[in-house]
Amino acid sequence: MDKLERLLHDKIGFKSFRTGQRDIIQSVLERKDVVAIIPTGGGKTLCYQFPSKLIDGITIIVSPLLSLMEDQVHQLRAYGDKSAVQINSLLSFEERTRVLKELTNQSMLFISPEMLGNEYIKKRLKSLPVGLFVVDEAHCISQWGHEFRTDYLRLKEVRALLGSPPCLALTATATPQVEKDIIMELGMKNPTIHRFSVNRKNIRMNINQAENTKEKEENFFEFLSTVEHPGIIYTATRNDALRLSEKMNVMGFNAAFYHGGMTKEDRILVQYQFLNNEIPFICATNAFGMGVNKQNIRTVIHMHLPSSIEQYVQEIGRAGRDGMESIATLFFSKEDQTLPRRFIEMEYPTDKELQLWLIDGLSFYRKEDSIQANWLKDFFQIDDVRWRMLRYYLEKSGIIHADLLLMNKINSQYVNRLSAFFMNRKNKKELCLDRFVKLVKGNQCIRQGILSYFGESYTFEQEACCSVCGYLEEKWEKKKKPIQRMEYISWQEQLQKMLLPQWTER
Amino acid sequence: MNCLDWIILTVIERFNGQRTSSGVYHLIKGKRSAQTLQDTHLFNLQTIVCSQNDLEKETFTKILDYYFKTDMVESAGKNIRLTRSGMEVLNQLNNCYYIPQGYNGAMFEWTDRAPLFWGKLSLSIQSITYLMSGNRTFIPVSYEVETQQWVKNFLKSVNVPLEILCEKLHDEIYHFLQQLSDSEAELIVNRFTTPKGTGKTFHQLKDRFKNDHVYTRLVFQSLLHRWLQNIEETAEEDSVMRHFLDKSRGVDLITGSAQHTKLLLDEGFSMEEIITKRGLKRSTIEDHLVELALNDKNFPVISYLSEEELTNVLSIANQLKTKRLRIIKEALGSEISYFQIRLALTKYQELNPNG
Repeated sequence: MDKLERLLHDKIGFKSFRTGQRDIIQSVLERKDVVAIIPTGGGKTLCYQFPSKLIDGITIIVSPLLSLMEDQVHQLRAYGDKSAVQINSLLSFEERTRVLKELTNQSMLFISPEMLGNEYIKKRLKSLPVGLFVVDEAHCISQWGHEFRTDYLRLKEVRALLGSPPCLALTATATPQVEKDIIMELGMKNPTIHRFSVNRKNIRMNINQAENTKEKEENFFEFLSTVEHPGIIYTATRNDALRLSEKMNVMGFNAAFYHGGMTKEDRILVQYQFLNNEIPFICATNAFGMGVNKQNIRTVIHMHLPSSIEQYVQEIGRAGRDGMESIATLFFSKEDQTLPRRFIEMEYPTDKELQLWLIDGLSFYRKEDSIQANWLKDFFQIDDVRWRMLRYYLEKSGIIHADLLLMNKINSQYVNRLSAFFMNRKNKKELCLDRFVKLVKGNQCIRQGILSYFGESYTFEQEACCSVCGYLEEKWEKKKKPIQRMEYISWQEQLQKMLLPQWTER
Repeated sequence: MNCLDWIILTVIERFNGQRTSSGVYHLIKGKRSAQTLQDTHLFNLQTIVCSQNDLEKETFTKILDYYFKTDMVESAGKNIRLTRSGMEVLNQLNNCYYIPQGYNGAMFEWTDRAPLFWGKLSLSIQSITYLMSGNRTFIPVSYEVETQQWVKNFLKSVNVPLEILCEKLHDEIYHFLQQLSDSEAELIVNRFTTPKGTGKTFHQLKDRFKNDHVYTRLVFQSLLHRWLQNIEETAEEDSVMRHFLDKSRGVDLITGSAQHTKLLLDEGFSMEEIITKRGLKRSTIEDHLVELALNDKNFPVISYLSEEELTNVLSIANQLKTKRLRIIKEALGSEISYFQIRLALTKYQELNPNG
């Protein structure tokens, strides 16, 4: 055990670092700007949790996904690290104020990018010494990242305001182009780059193409009886997750479902059941997985086409964190290709709609200075998703201010610019999807395709690689565990087992 | 059609074309506003209010879109009402679903009493059983920092060994559960998380409750309501369960701002004085007064309108079978203000118990 490992043991309780962690942490401790591209399950959290104990000043972690942030902070605190706190829109005003007030030098503050736009919060943070500025899911800052978030563009400014503390940008998936954008958009100086291969050798990849949905589902069930659990099955919609899990239960595979529309309590329960190996399979939308720290997932199945290579790599990366053999299988039929395209279409207003809403629609009110912003949504019945986005951009450009839409600021030039911007985003998303579709339909090695997308080369050294290069079925040793059925016990007995275990065991 | 449809259609029917679809949503979601408070009392929806406090707006909108598409509801101006076929659907649902015994949304859900009780109880059970099995670290089933803090303090403040605490809890829980049917008792026990197993979701427990997760949740909540009532009325002084009644975090239904207005009123300030003193809009203070009137049967409505005006409003509302302010105002002429009509209507339920 060297000095750093001893410190690790003292501060966190771990005995050793995982691959990559030591290099990243060393660079962070040398107060350098760092870009770290480290695959899912590589232990990203430790890369800032550990330094935050050694660095003077608070550690700020910007994270874009609320539920992920909540899970992370909750788990860190449950395992004894009470320095982890969060500020996001899930908290009430009073709670936020309390968190801000109680920040100390050692705090690890998780914060959403929206909150960093808040003047009051910025002012408070400015008054504190900031030791490290972490940007999680840093690919969100690039137009070429699969989840571009405009909020991220203001991070450079915020960082400067806080006295330009050293910056650590973390992501699991960044092409060389995205990496360049991260460096530029965060204003990093001579950053140290730690890039680790996205290749997960212990996950073999399998693509199964069917003629139609019916055949796809038959293939799925046939396959399911050969795989090991625990497993995650990703579906396109919430409804699909629900229906598939019910069908699986009928067929004798014990499955639960998970999606963002469930109550928080039920979401927590399903996560725990899965973590504790009480249910072998989970059918879920892409809302599931990020905050779930489970080492022994053997199988990840996709029943739909993910929106990009990055998304796919992230999701299959949840398998085999323990390094053991795992399998990722994608089932798709021709019919599946239209849905993701429709999702992309539905995300953005069309040129025609923008013209109708912002020019023709508002012409009724030409004489007014301003109108209630929500009038637009109500009058044109704009759906929540697109309204939120449109409103965001209107607020950003100062057209909506304090819930009022300022009429004199809208002109056709602005609307054209907005149209062009949305068109550009849509095209980029379609391009990402196309590349993924090409990957799964082509006859090139899937692994090689993924690696070359991220600018890596592949030497075909792997025996069991993917369904294109030979999936090597016989090499796949089936160690299928039987699914345990719950035996029925009365509530009296159950209550006794819970609260009076010493009686039951006697 | 399922239990959620039954609840939504029931509220639409009660509103009788006098409220918008948002009004329906706010009511079952239990929005804490003067308007929803007033609707709850006017339309006698105390049982059902706030019963779907976890319903997302998006889901609700989709359901209503479906009703419109299938001609179960129709627009009545800005408002909505049931069509004949919607009424038929509701009648059928009425044969299938009913409000479980002891259920009271206004008293236990809207005030947050039942959710707080359950949050504290379930996290305590999890903590105690994990500690007993020697696990000091576990991931709490409640993300609420305040609930976590409460449980921590609770465990520190009870001065008995864990084994004894477990026994007491076991006996008291057992005592309540044995008054229920077996499937009801199982529902409660299966929601607990311990090292022996994680709690089940309502979807996983729906088999014995009409295969409907919303209905299952409704039954579960009703059991909590009965439990709360039971503890309050019958639990011994030294009962452990009594601790979980702790109301320190319960929500007073009178909003904070109205609370301030009430204090000033009690000190003898007039409405005009309060408006100047607090620097608030007249309409805001009016909302407060209506809210206070709804929550307090003895609120002196008569200080703000004459006895005659009060009777007039109530009889017109009765005659025209409406609670819509504009229609009442048109019928009565322009002397009376909307504020006065609203105040008068707070007395509607009292004087027309079948309205």
